[in-house]
Amino acid sequence: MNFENLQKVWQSQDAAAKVTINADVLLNEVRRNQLCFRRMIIWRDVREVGVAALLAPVFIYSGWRTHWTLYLSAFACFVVGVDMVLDRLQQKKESPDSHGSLKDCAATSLAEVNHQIWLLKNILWNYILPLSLPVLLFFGWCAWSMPGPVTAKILFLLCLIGFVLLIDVGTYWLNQFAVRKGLEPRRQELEKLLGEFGTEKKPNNMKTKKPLGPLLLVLAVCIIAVIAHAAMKTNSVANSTPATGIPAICKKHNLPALAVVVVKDGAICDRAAAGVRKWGDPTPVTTNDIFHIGSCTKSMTATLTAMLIEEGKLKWDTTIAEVFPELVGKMDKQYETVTVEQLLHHRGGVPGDPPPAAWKRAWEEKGTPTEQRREFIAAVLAQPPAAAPGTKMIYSNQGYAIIGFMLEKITGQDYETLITEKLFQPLHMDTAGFGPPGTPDKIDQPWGHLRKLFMTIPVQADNPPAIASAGRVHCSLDDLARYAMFHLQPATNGWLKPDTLARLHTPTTGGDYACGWVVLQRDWAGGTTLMHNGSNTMWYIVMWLAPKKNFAVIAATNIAGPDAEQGCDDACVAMIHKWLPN
Amino acid sequence: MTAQEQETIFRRWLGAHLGLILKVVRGCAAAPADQDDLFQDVCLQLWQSIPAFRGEAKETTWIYRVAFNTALAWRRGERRWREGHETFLKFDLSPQTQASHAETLPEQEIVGQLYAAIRQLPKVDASLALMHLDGLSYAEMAEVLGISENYIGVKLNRIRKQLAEQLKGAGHEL
Repeated sequence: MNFENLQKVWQSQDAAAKVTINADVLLNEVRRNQLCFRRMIIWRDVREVGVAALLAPVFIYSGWRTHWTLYLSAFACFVVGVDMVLDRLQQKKESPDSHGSLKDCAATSLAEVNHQIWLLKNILWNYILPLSLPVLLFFGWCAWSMPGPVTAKILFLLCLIGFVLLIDVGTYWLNQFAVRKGLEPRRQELEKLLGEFGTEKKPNNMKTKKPLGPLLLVLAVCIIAVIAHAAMKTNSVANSTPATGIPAICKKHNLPALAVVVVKDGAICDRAAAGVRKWGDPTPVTTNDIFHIGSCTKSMTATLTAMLIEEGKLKWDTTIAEVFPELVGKMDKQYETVTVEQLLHHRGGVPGDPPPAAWKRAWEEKGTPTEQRREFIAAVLAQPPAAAPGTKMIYSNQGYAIIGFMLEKITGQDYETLITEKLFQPLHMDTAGFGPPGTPDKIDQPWGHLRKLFMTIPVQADNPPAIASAGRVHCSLDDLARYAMFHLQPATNGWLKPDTLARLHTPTTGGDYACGWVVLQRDWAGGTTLMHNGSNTMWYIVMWLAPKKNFAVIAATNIAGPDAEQGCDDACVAMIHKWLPN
Repeated sequence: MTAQEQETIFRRWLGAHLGLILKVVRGCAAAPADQDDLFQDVCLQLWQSIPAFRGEAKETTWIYRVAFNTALAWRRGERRWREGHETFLKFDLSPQTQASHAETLPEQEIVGQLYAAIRQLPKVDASLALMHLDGLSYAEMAEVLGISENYIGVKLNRIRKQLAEQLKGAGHEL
């Protein structure tokens, strides 16, 4: 049989005759398929661009709530999304027509596959890096603002970078896998097909240029934003005078609120407050607002002790055993001879950390505050001291808790009533109280704040009453200024003899800790300063008294940590520059 | 173009050129399920191509192009987007029906072997073979494929030899 005969046989067969087709059903199926096909294309486009479109507002919101670097992430999403849409539109224009000649159709298909391969091979430049860059900036900020030493910050940053790298490498690998398994075989198939058309081997029309556009754009905007932000920050600090600088300092250190008060020559000469009472709420803080003063309570307890000494209720060298004879035998022998003054100087050997079980009990706050303290003190004294009494300064809340309870025992009054009647009322410190300021769940006073990673969480909480005499007092800065004046002017205050006040301000030889005051030499103060800071981990306050200049500055904020410390220091420096220009 | 016009054209094409479509389908896919799958793909592409059809090309050229292009892009078992599946190609292979047609059994066997041989060819050669057997002119084939008539001549010589080779192996002397 020759080919012509074969052709005849072929043409004589009626391929359609053996097949029955219902045109109506087929038409319906074709229409349905077309719908599915379109849905698939739309879904693919929406999925890819939609992720970017969805993430951008999330980043904008997060940027507003946490840090501006997240705005850059939103921008990166936008750039990547637009880049994808533009590419898709371009590809749609060039996609093959099914009714073109076979050769043209194969050539356009090959170009399309080549473009897809090029896109995925370069996903690092047009997708991964533009999105990762601002995230790394944000993580850098997170690590930097984390409390703790620099090594911890670096370690934390390395962890975050590792996390980003892991996701990036995963994304990259997945896409290269798709190229290897899906696109490369298709490309080879199409190249072979084109070869069958007799086309000479065209130079590989795969693009080699890297799509650096999105990355460069994001990089440029990131650099500009960082420089602009730094410039703005420097400007706002440089341009602000100390008095108006408090809002700038508050903002610079990302504090919820910052307040400052200045005393000069027996009067309050300056006060300022900036920020909000509660993070996320617009209610502004005022210069009359109450702040938690933490360990600045200690000099108050010491002052109260001195008052009772002057009244003859006890002496500087009264021992623990003399006040608590009932504990003799139960407490560690070394504590028996520890004196009042040693306790006030943190030299009683009392450990810096409380016994864990007693501390846990203290947080349960069972019984009256006095009962809680009795139990806590007994537990502390039952343990051996951290150092031989009188040999070493060990900063200890427990030591001041013992002193407080000694005063309760001697007077028969609870610590809160005692200090209110003896110190707060005579000084007209009407806002003074204990525990978190304000009414629970109301924003009538500032709230304390905890910083967890990059979150700022408002809280109304405090240490347990067991250590009230070491750090549970709160008051307005004006009231605290009145207390500072009391310490600055021994001649005019009628309650303490100058000798007694001097003894409160004198550290043990060789040390710098007096009775609730750190004694330091400062040029701006013309010599000796009395300072103390305090924090219950949700607040921070620092007091500087310069007796020679009859000057004091107090700065407080309703958050703790390095930012809070730096912010309060900046505020004090600004006030010192303003009021002690020389 | 209205939906009505599109439907009219589609029905006409299906009526007049079903044989052509089926030959392409059988020439490119062996198993009945695959043939059915490819057939539906070709129908969808034809339907979508109708608005672009301006009558500049001959209907058969157009349909060949769409059918071959779909077949070239089609891959076995890859149903990416279709939901559900209805079988359309119901081959009536009962002896009675076969007898009612003018084909003798040996001829049928030859055609079957031809299809098998065509499916062994490279894809472009397979499309050429199908069109050549259908008696298309070099010019028409050139238009469908987008290559020169000269080159088609060269290719067809080789294809004929190859087909002859394969059929000889199957016991048919050409």
